[in-house]
Amino acid sequence: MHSIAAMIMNHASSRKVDYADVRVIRRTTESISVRNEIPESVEVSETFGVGVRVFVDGRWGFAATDDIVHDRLDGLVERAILGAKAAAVAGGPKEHFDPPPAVTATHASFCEVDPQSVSLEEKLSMLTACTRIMGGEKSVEQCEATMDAWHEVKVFYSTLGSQIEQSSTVCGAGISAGALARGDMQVRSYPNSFRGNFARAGYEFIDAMRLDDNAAQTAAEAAALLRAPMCPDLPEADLIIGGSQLALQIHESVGHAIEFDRILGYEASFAGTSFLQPSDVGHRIYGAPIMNVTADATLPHGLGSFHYDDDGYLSVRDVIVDSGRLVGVLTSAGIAHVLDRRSNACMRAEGWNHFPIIRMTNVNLEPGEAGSLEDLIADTSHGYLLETNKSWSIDDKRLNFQFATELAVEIRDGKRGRLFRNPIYSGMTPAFWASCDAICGPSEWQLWGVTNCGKGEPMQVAQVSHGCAPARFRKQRLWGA
Amino acid sequence: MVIARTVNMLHAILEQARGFDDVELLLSKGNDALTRFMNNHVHQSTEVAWRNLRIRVLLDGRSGVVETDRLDQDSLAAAIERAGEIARAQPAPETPAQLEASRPMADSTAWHETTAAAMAFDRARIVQQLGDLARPKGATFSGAISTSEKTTCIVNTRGTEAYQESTQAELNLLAQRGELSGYSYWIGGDISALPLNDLADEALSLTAAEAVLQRLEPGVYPVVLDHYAAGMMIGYLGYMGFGAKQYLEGRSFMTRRMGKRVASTRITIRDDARNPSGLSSMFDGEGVVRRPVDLIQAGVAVGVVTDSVSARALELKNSGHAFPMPNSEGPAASHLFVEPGKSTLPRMIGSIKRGIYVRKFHYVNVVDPMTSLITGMTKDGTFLIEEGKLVRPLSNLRFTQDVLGALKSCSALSSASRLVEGVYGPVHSPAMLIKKFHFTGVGEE
Repeated sequence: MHSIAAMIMNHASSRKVDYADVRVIRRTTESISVRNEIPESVEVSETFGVGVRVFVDGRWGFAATDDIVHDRLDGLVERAILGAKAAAVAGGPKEHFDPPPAVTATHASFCEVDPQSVSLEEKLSMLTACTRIMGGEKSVEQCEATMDAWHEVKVFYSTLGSQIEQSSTVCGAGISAGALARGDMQVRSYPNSFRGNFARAGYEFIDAMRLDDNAAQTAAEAAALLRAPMCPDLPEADLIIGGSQLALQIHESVGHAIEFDRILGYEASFAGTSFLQPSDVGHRIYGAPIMNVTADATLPHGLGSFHYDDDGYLSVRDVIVDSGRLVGVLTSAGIAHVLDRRSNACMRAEGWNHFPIIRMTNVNLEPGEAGSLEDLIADTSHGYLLETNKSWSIDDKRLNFQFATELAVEIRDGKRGRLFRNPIYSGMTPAFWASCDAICGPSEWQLWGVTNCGKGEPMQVAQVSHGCAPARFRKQRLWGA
Repeated sequence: MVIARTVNMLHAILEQARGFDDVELLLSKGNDALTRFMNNHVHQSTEVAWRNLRIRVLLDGRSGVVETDRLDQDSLAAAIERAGEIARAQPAPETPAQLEASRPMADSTAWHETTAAAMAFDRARIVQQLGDLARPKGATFSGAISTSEKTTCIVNTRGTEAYQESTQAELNLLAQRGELSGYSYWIGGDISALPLNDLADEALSLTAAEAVLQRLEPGVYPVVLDHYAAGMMIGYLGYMGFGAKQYLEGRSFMTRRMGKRVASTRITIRDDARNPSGLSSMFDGEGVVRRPVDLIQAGVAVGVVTDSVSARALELKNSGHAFPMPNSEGPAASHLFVEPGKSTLPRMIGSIKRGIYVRKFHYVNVVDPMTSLITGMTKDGTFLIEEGKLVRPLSNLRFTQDVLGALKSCSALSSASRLVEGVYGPVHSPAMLIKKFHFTGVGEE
């Protein structure tokens, strides 16, 4: 991989481009789905390719291939240069690039148990057992257990002399029980919906989930939801939002809104823009004074963690919201200068075949002082605990959001009460975060992996984590449908 | 020549994979190029050559699948061995996996030299032309224009040989002037057919008003959904319930409604992958010939699309709608056509005393597939209609609406139909007049 990268950078240097970098990436993936005790799909995939980015007279060009034959790779640089030169045809302002210092580095993410060292038979046996246990619950007809793992090695070289090798392993798993009756379907998932939870870790992360130990409870909750009444329609309800749902709330109403490329309009035609303006940084009140948000690519197990980004900048932990005030955004070597700042290293590409764009690192809501979830429930006279995402949508400026969760539990006089099905809550980002009056403490704080973050054209799917603890939001619109 | 070389290469790999009951190979390869622009200037120009070989081996009814883009002999041998290990690791299934035997004809009209030969300079010149059209109107264009070529070839040990070369060009266009925006979109096989001026005019037309965005209270309104919004809504309907797997598992709105009225009698929807007005696709992920399937006929639910597994379960003929097998998704309706009506957009707007016009939906998601309930936002062209005229632009609105409910109150469809963005693939859709549409929120503060 290093020889390929070196060869391409030598060629790029000889072509007198202003700057060039190359990423050579090998990625292997294993994906397993078991439904109702039957292995529905077991797939292994491998991809190995190279992507070259060149900067010529203020324009970017990019070319990539997975046909790794050395004598054909020279043409890759030429194609990228052609793209950069073509970009000048339409005119307009030139792009900017603040080159990072040259570094030589090697980094591997933490992985205790290599997922490939665990036999497929063992994985299938555990997942099948989970669906068998869930299927034992009356009315539960659709039992699904999934497991995913991938390993990536990425070599980055630049014409500035950087030589960086990074390798990482990601694991994830989850179970879900679908109860059906009378034309209704209720789904309960553990530890999260949409294939579970994920972390930059080894198989020990999946082991620690104890999926089989939680299968019966998951199925029982699905069956209970089928019998539960519809969530009431309340214009103003106090909500306690559980960790995995709050992670998605952060993702949609904070993470995307603070992407500086969106703020500047680069995503206007596809993913959208942001309600924020560049002048808001350092001034705008984003939420309640107890709201503190960081963007932290240095956390060992986050899906948004790495050592160097795809500009070649060292990863950082940056403060985004400080006591409710917006103080930072997610930037890159291309646009951080607009704020007279240095890049906080957020450029990532989905793979060898994609042009790097600004992606969230781990955007986290820092823990508060409300103690445990049970403490927070005890502190709530009347409200609803919402758990586990079922549906999500937000407008192109990241203002108007609507989320559905798998369940709502009524809280009365500090105690859990009735279960409700099909809850939906909706609101506007600034008012929602301003209404936050309690955040649970460090003991409840954990990272939740989001594996399906779409952005860019062509669409790139990124993985990111959000750390948070359950939190309470006053007077929010809650309804059932 | 190229066909023979590719098919022969796959047959050689089949030979290499002896020792299994059956083997299926699916080779995809292509070149994707894209030019992305903002405010009339290019900020991203990319070109990617890619390939992927999917190897599926069958052993005692069990499937093992490996995908790779490494096609040297050693890598292929390792991939075949790994596929065998995966198959052997699984318990024997009650219903053994089977391969299909099929020899579909290729569509010779799906590949266009003009698209395959398009260069970065050609795409950049289109952006330049767009800028020239926008500047006199005080507007800007942002978006992306892409050109790609793709080859798909499937062979298996049951005699399937399927081969298709195709090209695709796509333009996603956003016009902006002040706080107003307008959208247009085109997709087709031949870039020389791109109606650039028409698309530019269509997007710019919604930015011409000298007015500020007005906030409209949420509620139930009559709505005219332009092709783009209507097509996206139909795309989500297909995503939620036109597949036989969802139907069999009781997870589709179709499960309890087959043979029953689910929409206005004006609504007829079918999947037709071979209709030349769409992006034709002759065979599915198993190499099986795609057949047209009636899904909703004059408002009545009449069918779902199948793959080999669901067709056997339903005792129906396989309609050829499989993703590569095995998979968790089941078959999908990816070439939806909504039968046009007799109206026009101006006539539909003209018939409304007070209502809303919507150009496009944004960030749509499923709330409840059993009731066809979806939510999303309007984007890039939402206008208040009063006394039959578009009177002022509105802030984007959130809707939460069951699609079947909307289709039940559909009172007119346009005679013109367009190929627009869907979910599994583009949808060929007319514009629609819906008498009752539920808006549940407003985008701006």
